[in-house]
Parts: sequence; C-alpha cells; structure tokens
Amino acid sequence: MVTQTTVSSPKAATAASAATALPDHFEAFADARKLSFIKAKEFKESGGRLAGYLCSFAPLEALDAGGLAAVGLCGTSNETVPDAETVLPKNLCPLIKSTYGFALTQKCPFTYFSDIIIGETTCDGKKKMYELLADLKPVYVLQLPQGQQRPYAAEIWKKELELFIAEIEQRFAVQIDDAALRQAATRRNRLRQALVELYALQQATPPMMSGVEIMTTILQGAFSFDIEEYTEKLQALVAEKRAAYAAGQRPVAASARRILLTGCPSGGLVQKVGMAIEENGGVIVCLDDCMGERTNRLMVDDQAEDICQAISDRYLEIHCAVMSPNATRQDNLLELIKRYQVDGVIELVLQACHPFNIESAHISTLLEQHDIPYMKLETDYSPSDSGQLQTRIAAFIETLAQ
Amino acid sequence: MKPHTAPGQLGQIGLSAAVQPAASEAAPQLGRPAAPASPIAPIAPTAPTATGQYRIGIDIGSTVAKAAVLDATGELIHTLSLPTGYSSVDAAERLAAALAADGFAVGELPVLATGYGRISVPWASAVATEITCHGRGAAWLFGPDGVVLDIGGQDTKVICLAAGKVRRFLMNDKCSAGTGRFLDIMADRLGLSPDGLAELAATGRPAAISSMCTVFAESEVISLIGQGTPRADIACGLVESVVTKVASLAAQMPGDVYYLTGGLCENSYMLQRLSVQLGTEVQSVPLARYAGAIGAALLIDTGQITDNAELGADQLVAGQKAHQRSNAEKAGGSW
Repeated sequence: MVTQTTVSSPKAATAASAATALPDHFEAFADARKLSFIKAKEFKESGGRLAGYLCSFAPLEALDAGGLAAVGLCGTSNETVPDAETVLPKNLCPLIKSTYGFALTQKCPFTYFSDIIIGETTCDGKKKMYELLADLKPVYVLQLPQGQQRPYAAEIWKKELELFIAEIEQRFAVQIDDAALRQAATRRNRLRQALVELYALQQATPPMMSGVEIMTTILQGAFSFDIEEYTEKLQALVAEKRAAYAAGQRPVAASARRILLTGCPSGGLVQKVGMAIEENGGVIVCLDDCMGERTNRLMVDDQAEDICQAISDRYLEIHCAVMSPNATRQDNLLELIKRYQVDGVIELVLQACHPFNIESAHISTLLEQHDIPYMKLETDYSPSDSGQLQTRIAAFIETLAQ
Repeated sequence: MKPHTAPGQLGQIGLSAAVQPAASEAAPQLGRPAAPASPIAPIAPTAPTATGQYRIGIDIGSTVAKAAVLDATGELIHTLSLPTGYSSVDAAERLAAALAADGFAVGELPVLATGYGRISVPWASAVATEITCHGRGAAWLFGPDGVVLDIGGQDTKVICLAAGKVRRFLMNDKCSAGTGRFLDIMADRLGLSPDGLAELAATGRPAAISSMCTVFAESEVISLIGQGTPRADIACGLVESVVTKVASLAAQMPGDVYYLTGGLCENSYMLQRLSVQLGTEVQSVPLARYAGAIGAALLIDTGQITDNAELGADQLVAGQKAHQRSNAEKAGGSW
C-alpha cells in the first residue's frame, strides 16, 4: 500500500471506528493515564477532533483552521520501546520506537483517540515508520524538500501544504479558507511568542527558572486541546516568574553554569540529561531543539498576501539536521550562545539519529573555533547509561567551573 | 613528594616506542608489577601534628578504593589503597579506619571524594567527578599539558589537559571493552592475575580477538583455548584488544604526550603497546594509580567542586565573581 491519504487496512479501520471506546487494557492503567484517556474521550464525545503530529514541520495552522485540535505525539518514554522492537529494528531512534510503541500498545490516550496522525518525510527512520504506523492509525505524510536552497523548494512545500489542506477538508468535511488560515497563523504566532517569552526568562543572570521546569511545561503543553488557553497559561507563568524575580526570588544559584542544549528532540531526556545537568551545578538556559528556540522563534507573516505561502515558508525555515545543507543552524546557534550567555553546549544525539550525529562534527568544529566548551552525548531513553551520563555531565560542568 | 618532580626522582617509566622496542627487555627494568589492591611503595605517614593542615582525597573506584593525604604545603605524605569489594559504603568505612590507624582522623580533616562511589563517603565534605580529579592529579604528577589516559575498572577516560586544567574529555560508551574490567575477566579465564596476563602477553604473538564485547570476547578466548592456542598468544591478543580500543578513543584527542593513570600504570607491556599504537610516548609513574585521589585532595583548596555546601563563603563569592566576569567577557566578546 503506497497511498498515504487513504487507509484501508483492517486494523486501522477498527481503530477508526472505535473512535470513542476506551482501549482493552484501560483498567490496568495508572490513574494519571486513566484521567488523560477520559479527558480525550470526553473531548471526542463532545464533537472534538484530534490530530496527532510528530514533528515541528507539521503545518499546524491547517489543522487549527480545519477545527482539529493538534496534539504532539512524539514518544518520550522508554516504556513502549520493547513493544515497538517486536516490529521495528532495535538499532533505531528511541523517539521513533517510543512513538510507534504507544500506537501499538494503545497506551497513549492522544495517539489512541487521534482521528489522523500527520507525518513528514524528515529522517529515514520516521518516514519508514509512518508506513507501518498507517496499519494502526490513519496517517497522512507530507513530503518535505531535502533542503531550503533550491529555487523550487518553497514552491513544492507550498504545494504539499495545499494538498494537505485539501485532504483535511475532504476527510473531515470542512472548508478551510484563507481567513481561517490567517486567523490560525495569528493565534499560533501568539503561542510562539509566549514560548519565546518563556525561554527569555533564562536570559537573566541567574536565570528566572529551572530549565527542567521549562522543558516539563512545554511537554505538558503538547497535549493542550485549546491553544488560546495554553497561550494564556504560558503568559501567566511568565508574568509570575518575572514578578517573583523582581521581588528578589532567585530559583537558580548564581554559580550555576549556563548550559545550552542542542541537537535531537530533548523531550525524552528531561530526567536523564536535564535533571543530571541541574543536579550537578548547571542550569539549562536555552533549548536549541524542536521544542525550543530553534523552531518557536520563527513566526508566520500573518499579514502576507499569500497566507498559504507565508505558512509554508515559515515551516521550511526550520533548520533541522534533516535539511542538507543546514548551515543556518550554526549561525543561529552562535547567536543563541551569545544572547543567553552560555557557558557550555551539550549536544544530545538520540541513538541512531544519523542526521544530528553526523552534523555534530560541524557543530563541534564551529564551537572549537569560537572557544566554547562542547560535549556530545549519544543516548537513548533507557536508564542503562544513567550513571555514566551523570559522571560525564558533572565532569563537563566542572570543566566550566575551572 | 612534590609536584612536577624530575622524571628520575619519580621513577618515571615513560616508554617511547622508538626507545623501547622489545617488551621483554623493558619488563625487568620496571620491577615487580604489584597487585592492584596493594599500595605501591606506600609513603610512610609523618606524625600528624595539628589536624587542620592535612587534606584527604578519596577515590572509590569500581575495583580499588584509594586515598591520598596532602599536607599544608601540598606535599603528598601518604597514600593507601584497598579493594572496593561489594559495597562502596563499606570500602569507605574501611578506608576511614585505615586512615585513622595511620594517624589521619577523617572526621576532623577536609575530605573530597571522587570515583563512582563518591556519594558513598558520608565523611567527605565535598565531591567531584573522577574526570576533574584525574586531570588535576595527572597535571600534578606529570605536568600541566598533555593527554591523560585513565584505564579504570569500569570505564576508560581520555582527558586533554591544558595549563593544568581539563580542557576536553572522552569516556568509553556503556561497554567494558578497553577497561581494566575486561582484562580482569580475561585474566581470570586464563587462570592468571591481570599483571601476570600482561607479563605473559609480552612473550606471545597476538591471537586475533575481534569481539569488542567482553562476553563475546570471552567466548572467543574459550574457543582459542579449545583450539590449543598458546596461552601467551591469547594473552597478547587480549592486551592488543584493550590497547586498540583505548588508542581509538585517544586518537580522537591527539596529543604530543600521553600519561597513563589507573591500575595499569606499572604495566610495562601495556605502556609499550599503547606507545606503539599511538605513535608517541606514553608515560606513567607508580603513583599514577593514585592520580584520582591526589587530584581530589588538590581540589580541596580550589573551590572546584560540585557540592559546595561546605566551602567557605569567600571561595563561593570568588567563584561567582569569576563566573560573572567570564560572562561579561563573553557578552562583549569578539564573535
């Protein structure tokens, strides 16, 4: 089966028809998970539609404009990796395995209740996994250009967006016009701006928040059905942290070394790496990954005449390592290091992520040239190397303290 | 002893490949290889006077627990080591008892702990990672610049020193290939002590052992034994396996001179093979097994520790100022 727009496998049909029924193993789940299932079920029963996305390249304005709630489904837990490995190779990115595993085991309420899952042809691991995911869930994959530089790249990516919009319209019997897209872009920009302001708390010396707290906040936000509400929550949080800081509260020690995380998505490494940094004399001041500044600093020009082009241009600008070449990542990284007064850079490479792993050679050279301490950590979601990572991270922070 | 003493005084056993081509010739010059768990040329404690003037570095490794005592002038006045055994908490207690018996009451002296068991030393006033400690200890033993190879019980570290500080470092991935543990297991399989293995290796020709994984390599060794391969050749192949793994890690951090620390520091054949593989001199001294503990003791007066709860306020303020200064410099930096 090669079509990405229609799904005819029996398993997928079953999942789609059982749109609001709870999974078979529901009773075995922990309470927090049960609550999330109930929340998603109620949302569906009240007429809500869920679209899962798996990457920052997913043009969310199209989903918003089509009246679907977009939820991030990137797997961040080792829990479902063993199940995923019954189908997928062991030597594969843990994010891909975890994501697929959650769909396979029906353990993630948002994956389970999603009416459609959106993917893009980013890395090889993801795009081939989507073919298998399509046996479990309705999946639509956008075809991403391999780089931004060709004169036609912006054109074909806009065409992909238009095809995607047409798919949403047809599948969910909705009309998506320019006005709806424009309004969605304005709302998304507001959310992006709120996130940028959250990140900016860390520009203070010492920073206004623990980086782990920021990461956790953003991860939880990926499950918000209402982006307006999420935006307001973020704005309130930023205001609260600013006020506390102005009142003299210093949640982070002045001696904490300022760390920038770059590389692969860090969502699955909050405990193993994020906490290890902040328990060993460091503080994460900047996330140069797809839940951080790399992506959310980019705004859609919501006043543009051609709103579709403006939206697709915004997404094409994301400098993920799947793009080749990806030189703008380097310029942006240097700018972030300066703006956040970074003491050291830690690059996170998820096991078997060839794009970021190979690109790390560029980053290492670049930072060496600028005399900025750099360490690469290649890891997965399992706890097997936690002790080693603790030592490496603590030692790296000690070298910054010399 | 004092830092940076001339090589001769330390009994330095630097081996360059060019100078020392034959291991069998080199070995006798190095004297008796000692069991890792026993102190090498223990330094007799001088009678402690006022307690405040000593500082103690503790390095609880996965195999051996080590202690080093410095006096107020920074002279190394005492070292001791014992097997870590099952429990690092227990090892810490035994170290405390041994230090007390030698006249150093740990409860009354500043102590910094390092090694994988560093959090198991309740009487330590601070902790630091073995990377920082080995780097600092090696700089004290050998000089401020160079690349430190630490072949430890459970991991291997390559530390680039510049001006006496750790500039960069690498550790082996979660795998025991290229570590002391690999040699321990293989020596046991061959019915030898780890040092006996190295001595025998020097007389053999390397049997091919291709597995990096300790478990698979052990299977290969069993096959070789079954095929009647001479024990010396298997031993030689095993040393070659460790050397290759360590050298490939070290190759990522090129240096003019390498220093070997850890339990294999007196292993002449290992030094010789490392020198050949790296194409440059690999030096060591008997005290290099205490590099981590020495570095830990040295760190006590520098403020360069992660748990700074016990540090004096002056040091903390100084650290913060330095930090702010460095940030200010960066903010106005050239790039």
